[in-house]
Amino acid sequence: MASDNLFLVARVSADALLKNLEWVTSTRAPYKAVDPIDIDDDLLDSVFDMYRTTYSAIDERFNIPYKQALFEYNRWLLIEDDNGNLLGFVLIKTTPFGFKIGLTASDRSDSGKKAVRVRRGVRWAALLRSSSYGGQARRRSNLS
Amino acid sequence: MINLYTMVTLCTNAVSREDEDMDKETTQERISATPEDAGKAPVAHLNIRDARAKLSKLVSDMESSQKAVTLGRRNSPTAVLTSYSRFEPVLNGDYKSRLAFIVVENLLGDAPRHIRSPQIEELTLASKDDLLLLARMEKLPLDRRVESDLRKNLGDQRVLDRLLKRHQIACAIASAQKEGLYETAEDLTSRIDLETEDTRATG
Repeated sequence: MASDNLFLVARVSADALLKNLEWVTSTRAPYKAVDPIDIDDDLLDSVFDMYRTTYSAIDERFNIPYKQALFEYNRWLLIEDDNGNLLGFVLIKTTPFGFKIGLTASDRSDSGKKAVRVRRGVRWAALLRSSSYGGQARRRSNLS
Repeated sequence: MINLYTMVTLCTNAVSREDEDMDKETTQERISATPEDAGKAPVAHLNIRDARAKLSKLVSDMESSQKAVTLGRRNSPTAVLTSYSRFEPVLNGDYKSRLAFIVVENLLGDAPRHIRSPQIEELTLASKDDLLLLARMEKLPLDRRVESDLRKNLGDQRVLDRLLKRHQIACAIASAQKEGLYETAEDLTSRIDLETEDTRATG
């Protein structure tokens, strides 16, 4: 995939995401190309804390132990409130077969929960763009 | 064209034997139990008949894993099938690009492209002297004395700082991959669907 050498971060509101998801599988705005090592430490800590809280609640045994490991995913959708506070995130990775939704979590507030619902739309956008891989991923998720 | 063999020899011969005798503490935060986690996977070998039968899949694998496979008769390698995107700096780059490639191959191993590519780009902007110093490092993290000596000779220390940060990321990713944690987490992600349904019902 031509753009898998890019690490892209989009900071958006849940409302904006729900209105338009076409850009999710592109490299255009609101994505910004960022060098992963220039990501602010506080932001990385916030994303990692949300990840740990959400995924530990489901299964504590298999959590990714290091925050830096989240950089496996090279498309980050960060969902923020009007003041720039992080409400939730969706981390995606590009593969030769398409886009794969990796991790998602919210701050558990009402707004955060709403933000995570956006993932459903993101999944559709990814599926439409990459029916082969997305289809398999979807079937696998239905089995779990 | 620079002799690649010379560069590889330069890198592999450059490990200071002092390293092993010195203090094991490092100045770098240790993320992974084994720095080798960021290294390269062993190269598989295929005989030509097997390779011909699954060439299409092999090429797809090169895109996803960016690893190499040797080809040949019996167990004797005579050719290599590998990722173009990974080795593009060697094929088409200038002297500094190829040096940068060697540094990244040695220290970031099989890290994802979005970690390796910016490092190669950044290193090609470094001075040739700094690049040659970095190309002498076989592995990270460095012990304190070696790092201190290196810093005294580097023209721009930020180059090393940023390389160390990227190495931490490469180790963290390799460690999680090795333990299969991404697959597990991605499976758990599908269960969050149910939570979202609950959220929708009660929210």
